[in-house]
Amino acid sequence: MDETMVEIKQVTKSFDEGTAVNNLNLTIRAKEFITILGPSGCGKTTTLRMIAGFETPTSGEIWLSDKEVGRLEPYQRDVNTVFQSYSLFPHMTVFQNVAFGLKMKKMKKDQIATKVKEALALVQLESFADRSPKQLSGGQQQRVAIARAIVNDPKVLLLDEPLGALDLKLRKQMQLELKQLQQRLGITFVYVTHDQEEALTMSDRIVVMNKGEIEQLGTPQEIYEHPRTPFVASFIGEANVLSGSVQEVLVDHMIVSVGDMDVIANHNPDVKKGDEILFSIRPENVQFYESKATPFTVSTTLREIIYAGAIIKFICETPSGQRLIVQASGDRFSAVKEGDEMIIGWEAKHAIVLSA
Amino acid sequence: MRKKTKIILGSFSVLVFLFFYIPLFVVMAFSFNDSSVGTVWTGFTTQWYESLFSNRQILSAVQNSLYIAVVTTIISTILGTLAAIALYRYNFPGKRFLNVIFYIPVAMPEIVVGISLLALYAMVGMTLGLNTVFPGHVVMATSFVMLVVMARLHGFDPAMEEAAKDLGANKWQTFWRVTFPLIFPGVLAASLLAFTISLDEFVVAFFTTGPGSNTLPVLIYSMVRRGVSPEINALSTILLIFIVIVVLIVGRVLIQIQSRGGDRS
Repeated sequence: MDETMVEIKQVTKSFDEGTAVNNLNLTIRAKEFITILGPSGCGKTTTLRMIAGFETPTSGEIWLSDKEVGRLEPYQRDVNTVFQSYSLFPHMTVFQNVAFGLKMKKMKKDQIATKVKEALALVQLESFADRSPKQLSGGQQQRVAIARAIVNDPKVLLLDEPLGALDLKLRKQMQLELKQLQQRLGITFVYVTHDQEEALTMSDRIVVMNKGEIEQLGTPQEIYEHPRTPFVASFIGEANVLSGSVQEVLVDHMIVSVGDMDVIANHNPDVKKGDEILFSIRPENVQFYESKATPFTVSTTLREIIYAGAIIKFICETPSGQRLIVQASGDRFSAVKEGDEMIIGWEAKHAIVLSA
Repeated sequence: MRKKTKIILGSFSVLVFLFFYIPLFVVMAFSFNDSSVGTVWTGFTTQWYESLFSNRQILSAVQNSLYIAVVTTIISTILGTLAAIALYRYNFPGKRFLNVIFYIPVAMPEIVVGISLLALYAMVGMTLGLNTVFPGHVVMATSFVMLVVMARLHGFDPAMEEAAKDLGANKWQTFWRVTFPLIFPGVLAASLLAFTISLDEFVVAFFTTGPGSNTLPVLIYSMVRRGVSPEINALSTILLIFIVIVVLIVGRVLIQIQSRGGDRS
């Protein structure tokens, strides 16, 4: 599991318009499903394209297994790509599309036929071999694109927002299928997306990128529960990011004053009394209290109620004008209305200190 | 109101088509007219076709024209396609300038091309012959080929080539297995255009052919000066039918490619 498959060393990529990737260092392990997550323009696609060989790093090295490939052509690398727009060859049948890579490797015809059949079976499209890509639905085309890539037994499979063009239901289904496929094949998947939910569902590890740099690298749980920066906190899921000054540091928690109120936050060894800090609390970790009797609760005014099916979101405003999102489920709060006074609070462990 | 529009549009279209095709039908009809004057119908004959095929001057002009047109088509299709791909794919200093340079021959009056070439040949002391027609024709046809192939390339997804390379195809294989098949309809249409441009081009050929090596349009011109002979009607009819057949064949090929799924536009 810990064997290194791809290593990106101090890679920078500049275009005429500016720097897309800035001094990136990333180690991708064999057989892991790693997702590069970030908003558009964060450099995630450029990073993927550099691993594939469509872009050459301005500086730095890219290692694939034990070979430096940064300046090699795409056809000299043991990686395959699933493109966002599928990019199936319209003048070839599904079979010919999937066979293309094997044909380039000069594999024998009967061997090609066997492998293509296997690959198509893997994506449940055996009976579509003689169709033209034009006759397939978007989801089927995407499956062909996946088969066309994995049939070559690549060391690494690169996926560039492969589900972006599919509707929500199909996307959810394909997410599960891709994850299962990856586990079955044991190929390293490098997946690029801007969809945080997709990243959380599928990945072993997530790389959060912003402005050409890595903001945080970790398991979905680490990223979600312990965001390191305000960007990660607000990009992955929703977060209430507050700023305040540390009043007191105790063994397992701290007291922070935000405006004119005192609240608690999780203990952090790097923070000392008097520091100005940023910290984040997930909306689902904010709770309503019956009275102000509990210490470190805050009295707020309910400004907005957003109904979202299984959950309800409440926008609460503190006397100093700070707005917080509180998320609750069920109909316990069906009686509350906008303008009501709500007392909110959270456990110390849920208020995570961020580094600015 | 809608009905009225339909009637007006319909009859207008019919008039336009009549305007286009009546002269052609007149030529075709009179090629079978048994009168050497050519303005009154006196009876059916095929003698003009017979004398056409025994006219060595005309036959040699047809041969010349076909030779020029075929060679021009081959050279200009290759050059124009390569130029289009280079201009579409690569960014390099002077690209815009080069683009304009390629467009100029399309707008350039043929008479200017003809005279310039004639002046050039005189300057370097070249004897005019049949092959001196090529430069002018190739220049004009190449520009048209480039325009047509460029238009085709604009509908071409560059990710197709990336996909091919990603699957292990080198640049050569990528071009022949993916790029070329996808732009082939455009290349075919462009080569047809080049062929017809060269086949019926008169002005440049008039200036740049040497004595005794007439192309068909040049020969027809010199014959017409002595009055329209019914032989010319017969010749025009054959030419017309030939072009229609070529266009039909190319059209069929294009339709087959499209139904096979090769068309992306």
